Amino acid sequence: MSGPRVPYAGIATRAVALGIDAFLSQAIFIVGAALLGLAGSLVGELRPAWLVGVLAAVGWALTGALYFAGFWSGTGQTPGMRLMHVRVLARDGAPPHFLRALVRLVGLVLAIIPVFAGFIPVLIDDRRRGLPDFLASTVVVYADVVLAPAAVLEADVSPRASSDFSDFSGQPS
Amino acid sequence: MSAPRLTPGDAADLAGGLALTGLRIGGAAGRILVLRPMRMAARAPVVGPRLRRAAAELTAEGRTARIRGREQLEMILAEAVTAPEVERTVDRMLAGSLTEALGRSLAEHRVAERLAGELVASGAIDEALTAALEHEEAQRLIEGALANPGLERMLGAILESRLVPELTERLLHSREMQTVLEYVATSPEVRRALTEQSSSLAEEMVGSLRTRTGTLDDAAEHTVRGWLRRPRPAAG
Repeated sequence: MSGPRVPYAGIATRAVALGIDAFLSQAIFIVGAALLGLAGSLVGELRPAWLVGVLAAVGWALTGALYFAGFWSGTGQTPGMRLMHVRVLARDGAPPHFLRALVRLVGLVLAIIPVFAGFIPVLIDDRRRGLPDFLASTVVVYADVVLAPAAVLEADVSPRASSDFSDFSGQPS
Repeated sequence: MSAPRLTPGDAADLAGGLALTGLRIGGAAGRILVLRPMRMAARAPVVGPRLRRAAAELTAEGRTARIRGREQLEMILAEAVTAPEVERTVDRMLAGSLTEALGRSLAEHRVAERLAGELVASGAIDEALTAALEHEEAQRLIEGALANPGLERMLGAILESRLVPELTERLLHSREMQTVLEYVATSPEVRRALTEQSSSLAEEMVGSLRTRTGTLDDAAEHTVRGWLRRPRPAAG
């Protein structure tokens, strides 16, 4: 496959991973909400309707936050990213901690709101970073390359920094 | 208590017994009176070698006579067995109750099973079957039978007969078939093979998707950078 000799994941791979994660998080929310609704119907109907809406919105947000931030900070990979063999890394080459993952989630929402325009920088940036990565100081790399503990974000794609990429023992798929 | 009276049959047996005893006594006397002095004389210094030579000649003549006697006996037996009288006798015997008695005896002593067991154990049946199947004539026979339209018609008639669906139905509903199906369905080997096949298919699909998206990653970036006239820096 022709392409740059960098392990940063591109927009198509990340888009597929995000689609899978969106589907999974929504499925988890719907199943959880259905189970809670079933259990709630046994004790009586929840009123007023606005409270139901608020609870549903909070539940949806919590599910998404826990799903994305939890997986990012836990293993650096959501299930969709695992399937597509990509991984999110913080500046030190490790998965971001939970707060940084939450910041990244905010960036994700902000990138989605303007019709995914927040991901356009992935096509231009040398490290293929989008708005979530800029906000949280993270990068997304192909997971089938083994990264050295060297600082990921310090690596550059300039000829000067080509030796930095010798730390990557594999090539992007 | 009076002694039992001899019947004519007993008298004949008595005569036979006396004759046999006389032969045994004669043989023993011959061994004592002839063979022992002969052996002693054979060890004597002067006449010994001559006697031994004569004994060797006699032994050779006796051996020759024995062999010829056996050959003549074989010829006589062969002539006797193949004689028309024997054929007629056997025919009469088989026409009588001997056949049934023979069958009962064979069944009672499990002759067929024992014979088959011995043949199987010795490998003779395998060898015979292999030799028969590998024989050119057998190959020609099989090919001829398979090419025979009559066989084809017969097989077609069998397959179209009412018997086949009934047999199939009975086979499918038999306990043995259920056991076999259960065994196959729960067999770890089969389950492992299915799992491996499914997982390998999924892996293949995902791998293909990853390859395509990876290509698309580069193509999209290349296109946009081309629009902006901002080429990607060389990575070395």
